[in-house]
Amino acid sequence: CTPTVRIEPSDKPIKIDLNVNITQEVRVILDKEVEDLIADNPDLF
Amino acid sequence: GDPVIDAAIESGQVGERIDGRLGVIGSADPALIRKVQEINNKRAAKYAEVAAETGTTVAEVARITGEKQISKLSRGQWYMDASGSWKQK
Amino acid sequence: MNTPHYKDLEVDSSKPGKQRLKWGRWLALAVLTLILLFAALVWLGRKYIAQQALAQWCHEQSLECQATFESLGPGGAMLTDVRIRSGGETPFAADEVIADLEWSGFVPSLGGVSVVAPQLRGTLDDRGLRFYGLESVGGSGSGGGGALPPVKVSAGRVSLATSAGDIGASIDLEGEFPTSGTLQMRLDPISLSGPEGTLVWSEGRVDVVAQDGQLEGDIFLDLQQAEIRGVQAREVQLEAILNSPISGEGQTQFVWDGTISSASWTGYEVTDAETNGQAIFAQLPSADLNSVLDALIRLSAEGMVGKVSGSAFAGRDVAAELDLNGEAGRVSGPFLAVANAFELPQGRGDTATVRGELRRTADAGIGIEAEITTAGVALNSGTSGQLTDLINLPDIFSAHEASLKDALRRAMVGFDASLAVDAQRDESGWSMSATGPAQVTSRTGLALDIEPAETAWFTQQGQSRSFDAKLAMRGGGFPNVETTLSLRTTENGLNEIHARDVKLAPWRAGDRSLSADLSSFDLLRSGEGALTLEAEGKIGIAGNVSGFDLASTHVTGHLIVSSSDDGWRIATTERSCLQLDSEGVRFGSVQLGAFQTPICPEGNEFIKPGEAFAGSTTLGDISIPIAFSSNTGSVSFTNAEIDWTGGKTASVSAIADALSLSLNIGEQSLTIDGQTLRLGLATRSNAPPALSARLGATKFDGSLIPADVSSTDFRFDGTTGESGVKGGLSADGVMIRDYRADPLYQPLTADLDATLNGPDFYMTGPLKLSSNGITVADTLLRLDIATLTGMAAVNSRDLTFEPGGLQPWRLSDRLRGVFTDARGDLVASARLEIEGGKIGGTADVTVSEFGFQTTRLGRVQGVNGQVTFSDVIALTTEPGQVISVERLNPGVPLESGKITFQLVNGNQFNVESASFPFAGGTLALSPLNWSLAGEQQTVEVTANGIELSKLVEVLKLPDTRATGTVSGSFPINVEGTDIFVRDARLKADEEGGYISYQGTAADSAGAADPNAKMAFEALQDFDFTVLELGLDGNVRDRMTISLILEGQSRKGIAYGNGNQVLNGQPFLFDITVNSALGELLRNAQYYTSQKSLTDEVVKQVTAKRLEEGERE
Repeated sequence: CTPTVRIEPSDKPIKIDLNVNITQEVRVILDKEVEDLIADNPDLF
Repeated sequence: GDPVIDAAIESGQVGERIDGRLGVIGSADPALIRKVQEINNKRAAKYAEVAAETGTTVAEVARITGEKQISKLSRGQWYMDASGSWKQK
Repeated sequence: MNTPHYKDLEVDSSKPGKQRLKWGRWLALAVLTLILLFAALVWLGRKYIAQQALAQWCHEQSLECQATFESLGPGGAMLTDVRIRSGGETPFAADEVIADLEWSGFVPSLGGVSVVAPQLRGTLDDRGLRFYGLESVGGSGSGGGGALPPVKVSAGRVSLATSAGDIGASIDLEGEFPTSGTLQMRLDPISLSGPEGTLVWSEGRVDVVAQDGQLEGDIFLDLQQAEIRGVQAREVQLEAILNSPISGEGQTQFVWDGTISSASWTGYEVTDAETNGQAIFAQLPSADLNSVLDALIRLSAEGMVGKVSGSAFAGRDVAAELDLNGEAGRVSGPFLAVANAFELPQGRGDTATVRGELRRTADAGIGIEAEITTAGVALNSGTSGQLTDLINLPDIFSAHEASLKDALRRAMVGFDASLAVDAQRDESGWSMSATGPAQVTSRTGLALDIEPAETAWFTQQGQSRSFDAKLAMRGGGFPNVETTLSLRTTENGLNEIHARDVKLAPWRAGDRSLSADLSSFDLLRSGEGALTLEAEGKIGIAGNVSGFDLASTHVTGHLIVSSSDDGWRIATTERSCLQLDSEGVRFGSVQLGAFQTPICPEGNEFIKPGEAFAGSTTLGDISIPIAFSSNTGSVSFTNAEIDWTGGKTASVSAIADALSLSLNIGEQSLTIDGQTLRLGLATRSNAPPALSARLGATKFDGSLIPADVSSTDFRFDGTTGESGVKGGLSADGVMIRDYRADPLYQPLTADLDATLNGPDFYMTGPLKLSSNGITVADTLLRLDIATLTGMAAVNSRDLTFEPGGLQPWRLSDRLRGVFTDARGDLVASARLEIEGGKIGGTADVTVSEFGFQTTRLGRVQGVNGQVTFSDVIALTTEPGQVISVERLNPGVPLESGKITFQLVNGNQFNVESASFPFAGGTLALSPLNWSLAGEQQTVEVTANGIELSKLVEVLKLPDTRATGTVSGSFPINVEGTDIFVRDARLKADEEGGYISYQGTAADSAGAADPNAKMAFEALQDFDFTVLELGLDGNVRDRMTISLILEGQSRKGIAYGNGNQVLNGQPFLFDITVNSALGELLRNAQYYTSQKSLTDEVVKQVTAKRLEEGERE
């Protein structure tokens, strides 16, 4: 079991590290859009 | 594509870049540089549109486009890979 | 006795008038009468003495003789008071007559007769000398009886009754007449006056010596006044010697020396005359000239007249000498005549000398060959007028005609002339010709030399005169001309002029100068004013001709000019061309330099009769140096043709396939190459010449024009006066292209209108884009083309950019890639100063709602502001230019920013300040020099006073409230299109702030991890003292956002299994999020991504716990 400890607020701050990494798997979604983009704009690609 | 740009590509003055932009290889006359810049501006606008529609970043759209453009190059044409140096297909 | 010394003699035959010989005849008459008187006396005396010896023959002669014979002896007889009366008159009376008789053998012969104080009375009238019949005693004198005895008359007296009174003379006679003897006769002073005239003389002496059949008389006469038949003479003194055979056959010599103080006869008056000379006659001639000349063997005489004045001739100190030899009427010999201060009907002169040969043929024809030399001659206005009337030149040379007439007039009042003349007189009258060289030199400096072309240079036959001379004339205002000239004049004037080898040096008069080098010049005037002129060689003209100011211009060729009733015809022989060679033509202020060109008639003449003075000529290809308004250059025409009308003013129109004009204006150059030229030029009498030009396709080039300029239709209409070319120009379809390697502007087209006023050039016109014809600007140029100084203004129209429509690159390719897919309004006005051809100037560009697409900043929108370019050519602005930007997105959307910048050389964007309000604070760029074309750029950004409450709104963080402000600066590194934020640190200000997150993420995170639960619980009501926001990564791609939060939760925090509460416990959060910031910030996307955010957090947290778990 986890001990229930009564902690007095210590003057030492409780350090919380949080690392968030947001990625999205865009590859699939974009593939088709990019193909269309290239096809639709021959003057650019 | 634009005749001037196609010619420049054929003559190895301009090449596709992995970041979805056209790049000028070596030196070129100001008019060609500006034309490349104009096409990159227009591509940026398109990338922003696609990015907005697909919730992705412009850079991501640009990169995928770059990869596709490079994959479609024929032998002997120039491209710049992630390393940032120009290579020949 | 003084014998006259013989000198060369010269008779002035220039005026062979009748009076002159008449005078000579009367003098001879008077002398002859004396001779007759004397001869009669001798006859009478001789016969009387002879008769006396024959005793009282008077009775048979019906004369009453009365004498008292004092003694009559063998030795002679002495008679006293001898009176012979005839009628009532006593023709002879003598006090004492002594007759010596000589006996030879028994034949008494009269040895000698001596008469003392005989009184002889006779009459002198038209019928000669008569002694009341006494003279008819003994028949004609010549028949007298043998040798006469010596006679001696002393103190004899002769008294002759004339109609005008008595003439008395005393006589002394001695000798054996007619063989020898002497006679002295003293004329009493007499004063006769009567209807015939008057005769007054004071002394007359006649001494005669007869010897060996020769009679020698010495006469002296001192006449006071004589007036016979209109001939008057005063103070005449004559001393003469006569030597002639008594028998009258054989040579008679007559020597004389006389002076006449004054004499006059019909129309003439002579004073202080002297004459002397010697004449030998075959026999004693009668009084008329012809008989004198017929008898003349030798005449040598000279005569001086102090002053002679008459209708035909007057003069002072006139002298003549004559030395003639004659033989049976043929007389010839030299003569000399000199006159001073002479006057003739034609004029007067200081001295005239005529030296020559006189010839008279047997049939009384007279020939004179003489050299006439005159000095100081002045023709009177009448004669000079006749001479000047001979001169008339075409009215184009009226100034020359006037100058020649004036020079002639001035010359004719003081000139010396010498000429050789040959005059003949026969029954038909006088004919004269001038042979040998003649010369005229005037005080005004004229030198005229005339030589006969063949024999005589001037012949006059009755009314017709001809002139054939080699003539050389110069000086005194006369043209310097040499020619071989032949003229024919008849009663109706000078109508034929032929000249060969005419050399006329440039002869200036008025504002024109004429010169000529002709091999032949023929002018024929036929009756009714028709004229033909043919000239071959070179004619030179300079000066003002029909309004054109010609430098020395020569026309060479063979010209035929004819004028008839229906006008002028000018042509060349066999349609040959003339060669024009000019050193330049100036009309108004346009100066054409030296050029040569053939001038060929179009048809077969230059000028057709009937047309005004007009014609057309082909010039082919011709190139001429040109200058106007102090600019020099050259103009060349291809296949040029000119038609022109001339006269007082001239109009020339030229067409040419092509014109090429190149001009140097200051140090700049201008070339104009035009097709299908039409040039029109008309000089006007009191207005500057009108000039018009039309050109088809034309190209303007040269350093003066900093662009390739061409036009399809160029027009100029104006004048070219002294003050320069003035008029209106217009050029349509003008194409302007910046020929520089990287053109500043795209090709423009324009329809330009301009006015030129001497050096002032003022041009206006709209500028259109050649590509789409949109009018983009209105231009104005005011330039002094002499100094190339002026100003220009380019005011753009209100330009509206829109994708697919007007785009910046259509204005200038340099804007391509800078303002892509532009939208919005722009108006610009540029003001250029032109200084000596260098162009510089300022411009104001005002943009409103202007937007464009870029690669790095996304779409820049809503740009407003006015930018002032300090140097528009270099595209450099003033510093401190301010524009407001509504929106741009370098990855983070920034709005309503204000940028203060300076653009340098069009490619260096120096940002002085740029700030964007952001979440209650501002994001500001520190000054940077951004090279637009550069790939690399570092930018220092300062965030200041970002209010967390607003940031939460901007970031659209749901269920979050925060207060407090953060600031800090961080570098942005722009590479290519990526914008990297390098470890930005935004710190909260000292007062810290408050943050409260009530989001659901707290619950799900809390469930997964007590710490997370505690953290989110703390965040629900958290006062922070330290907040540090960190950013790192590529704004346009992935970013790592880190958040350091230190502070306390306001409310207690349950931890563990929810029953312990922690109050006032300080927390330190260190949260890093790595995500595509762009996505996060894009509001549309946020909602969908919030779930993902929480999932992410949860995932992270659980992963972390696992990690801790393993560590524990």
